[in-house]
Amino acid sequence: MKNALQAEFSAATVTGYLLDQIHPPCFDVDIHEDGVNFDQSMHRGIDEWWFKVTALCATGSTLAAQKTRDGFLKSSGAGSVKAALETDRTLGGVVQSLHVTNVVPRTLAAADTDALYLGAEFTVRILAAGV
Amino acid sequence: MGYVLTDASVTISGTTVSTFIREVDVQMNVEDVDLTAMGATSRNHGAGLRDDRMTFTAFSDYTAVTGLDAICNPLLGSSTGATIVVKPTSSAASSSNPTYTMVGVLFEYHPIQGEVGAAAMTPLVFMPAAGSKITRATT
Repeated sequence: MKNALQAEFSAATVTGYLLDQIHPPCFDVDIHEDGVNFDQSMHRGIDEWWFKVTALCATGSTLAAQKTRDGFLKSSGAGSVKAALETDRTLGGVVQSLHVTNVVPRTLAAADTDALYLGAEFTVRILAAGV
Repeated sequence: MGYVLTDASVTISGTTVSTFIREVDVQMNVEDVDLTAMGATSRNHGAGLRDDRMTFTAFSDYTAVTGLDAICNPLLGSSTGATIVVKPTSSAASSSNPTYTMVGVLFEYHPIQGEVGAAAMTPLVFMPAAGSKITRATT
């Protein structure tokens, strides 16, 4: 997912993990609250993984930040997070399927500075062979 | 003793398809023949013919040669059927891990089925080829 996001949003910070420092635009990748549902088929054939990808557009709710977020929210085309993640639904053959199922708006506050970041949280469902 | 099914082994014509399988149901049935006669005070159930079947719910896969679709499509309505072996686990057959084997003909297969956003899955219903039934073995 990191590679998919990096390919579309070259100016953004993406590590594929939670970010130590926030410098928007950036993407957090974390396990979703729904977690991992093991053993969807026999013999460790398929596990179901739920991820959340949090996109942070900019500090505050400026017009520019809102426009950036609008672009992230698009369902297709350039600037769409869903389209970027679903460009290769096998993630280079690592998983069997990937589906961005929904997105909700998020405004996050930095713990140390109280700065507000306008963003959006995408839910990603992945089916992958058990390892 | 309880038992959580996560590693059932399913092979079709020698090809292991376990990782596609979400649900497995091996049914060994005997028809219930009513032999009740006049004067009886309760039903007399006679054991009739065997009427076995194996049914599965499987994740669809269209990979050439090794995918479920490539394996199952030729078996639909096949006159000779295919040998299907099911075990509780993938371990070697034993007295505690018996095999259930049937030469089966595929009678139900849904190559494409599902609602938007859901994992594509298919039922597979195998009935015994003529003269066949499910046999249990421990080796």
